[in-house]
Amino acid sequence: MSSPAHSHSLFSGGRVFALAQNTLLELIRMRVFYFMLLFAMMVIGSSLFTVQFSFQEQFQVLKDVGLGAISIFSWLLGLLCTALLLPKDTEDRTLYTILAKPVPRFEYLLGKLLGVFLLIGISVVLMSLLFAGVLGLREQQVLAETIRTTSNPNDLAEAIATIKASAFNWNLVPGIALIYLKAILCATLTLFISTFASSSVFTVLVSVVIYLIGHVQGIAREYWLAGGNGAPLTKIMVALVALVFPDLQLFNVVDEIAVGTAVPMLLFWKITGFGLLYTLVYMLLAQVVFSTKEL
Amino acid sequence: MKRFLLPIAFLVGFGILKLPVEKLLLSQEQAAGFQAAQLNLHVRSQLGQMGFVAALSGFRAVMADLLFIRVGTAFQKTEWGRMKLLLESATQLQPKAVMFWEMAHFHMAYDAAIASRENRIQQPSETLRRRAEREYMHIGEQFLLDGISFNPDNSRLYEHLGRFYSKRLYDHERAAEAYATSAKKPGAHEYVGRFAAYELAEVPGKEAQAYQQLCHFYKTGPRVPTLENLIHRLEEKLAVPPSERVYSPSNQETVSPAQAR
Repeated sequence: MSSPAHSHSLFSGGRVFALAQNTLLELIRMRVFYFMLLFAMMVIGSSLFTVQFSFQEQFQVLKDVGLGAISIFSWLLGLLCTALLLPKDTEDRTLYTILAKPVPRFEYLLGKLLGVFLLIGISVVLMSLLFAGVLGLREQQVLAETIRTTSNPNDLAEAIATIKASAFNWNLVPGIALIYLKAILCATLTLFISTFASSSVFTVLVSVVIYLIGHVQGIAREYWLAGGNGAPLTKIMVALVALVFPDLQLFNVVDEIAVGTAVPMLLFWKITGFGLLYTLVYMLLAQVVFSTKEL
Repeated sequence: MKRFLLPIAFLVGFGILKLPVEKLLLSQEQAAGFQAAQLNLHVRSQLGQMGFVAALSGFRAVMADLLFIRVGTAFQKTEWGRMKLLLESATQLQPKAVMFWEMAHFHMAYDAAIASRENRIQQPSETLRRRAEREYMHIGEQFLLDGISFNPDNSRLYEHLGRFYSKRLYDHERAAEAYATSAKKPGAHEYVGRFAAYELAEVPGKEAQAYQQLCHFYKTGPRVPTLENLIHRLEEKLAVPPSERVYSPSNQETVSPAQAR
C-alpha cells in the first residue's frame, strides 16, 4: 500500500521559474536597483539639456550618451546584483533552506541567474524607452524649428528626411539587444566567480578587472596568433589572456550603429549565438564549482 | 584546489576552440564597417589614463564626444594646434562618424588656415603666414582623405573634397574628379554631378568634354543660370555652329538655384 506521495523530477522548469521570480522580487526590493536606475535615467534624461550643437551633432551625442549609459548601467546592475546573490543567501540562511528541499543546485543557480537576467531586461527596456523618448522629443523640437524657418518646400522635405534619418531608427534595436547580451554574459561570469569567491567585494573587483581585460582580449589574441616577438613569459601571459578571457569588444557595435552603420542580421545572430554560448559555458562552470562547494 | 582544475582545464579547452570563431567574427564585423577605431598612444595622451580605460571598456563613442566638445573650447581660444590633436583623437575613436571628419576638415582647411594667414600681429612675415596656411590646408585635406578611407561610400566627404580643391586650391581638375565621384555615391545631392561639369569647364583642354556633360544636364535637369551661362560661354569658346547650339539666351526660362534643389 505504499506509494510515493510526490514524484520528484530531476529538472523542473516550474521550480526554476519560482526561484527566478523570487530572485527578481528580492532584487527589485534592493536599493541598488533603484539607485542604478535613477542614475541611468538622470544621465539619459539630462543629455537632452546638455547638448547645444547643430542637429546632427545633437543626435549623435544624444545617441552616444544614451547608449553608453544603457551599456554601463546594465553591466553594473548585473554585476552588483549577481555578486550579492550567493553571499546574501548564505548570510540569510535562505540558501540552506532552499537546498534542504529537493532542489538541485543547478536549478538553484539557474533560477537565481534568470532572476538577474529578468532584472537586467526590465532595466534595459526602461532605459531604452526613456532613450527613445528623449530622441523623439528632440526630433520633434528640431522638426518644428526647421518647419518654422524653412520656406522652400523641396528644401523642407530634404531637411525633414535628414532629421528623421539622424534621430531614432530601428537599427538601434539590435545594438541595444547586444548591450543586453553583454550584460547577461558578464552577470553569468560574475556568478561563476562568486561560486568560489570568499566575499562579494572580491567578486566585484575580479569581475571589473575581467570586464576591462575582456575589452583588450582581441589585442592579446592577435598578438599571440601572429607569434609576437616577446619574452617567453610575455607570450605565456598573452596566451592565457587570449584563451581564458572572453572577447567583449565583439559585442560593442553600438558606437558604429549610432552613426548610421546598420548591423547585418546574419552577423547579429552570429554574435548573439556566440554570446549565448559564452553564457552557457560560464553557467556550466559555475555549476561545476558550486556542485562541489561545501556549504 | 582539485575542484578548480576541471573548470580551468575546461576554460583553456574552450579558449582553444573559441579563438578561430572570435577571429572570424571580428573580421566579419570589420567587413561590415564595425571595429574600425584605432586606440593608440596618441589617443591615450589626449584622453588621459581614465579616459583611455573608458574608451577601451566600450565607451569609445562617449569619449570621442567629450574630445569633440573640447575641440569647441580650443576653437574659442583659437588654439589651432591643440584642435588638430583633439580632432585627430576624436576621429580615430569614431572613424565612422562622418560629421567628425567634416568638422575636422572645416576647422583646419578653412578656420585655422585663414586665421594663420591673417595673423599679422603674431607673425609679421607673410611668407611664413602663407606657409602656415598651406600646412593647415594640407591637414584639412588629409582629414577628408582619411575620412574617405574609412567611409568610402559617403558622398558628402567627396563633395567637401571637391569644394576644397575648387575654392581653396583652385585645382579644378581634381575638384571635377571629386565631385564626379561624389555624384556616383548613394545619397548624393543632385547638384553635385553638375558641379563636376562646372569644374571640368575650367580645366584647359577639357572644354569639349565639359560641354557634352553640361548639355546632358541642360536636357535632363533643372536649367539653372550657372549652367546656362557656362554652356553659352563654351559654345562661344568652342565655336559651336549656331544650328547645333543647345542654349539661346534670348528665349530660355531659367530656374533659380534654390528652385533647382
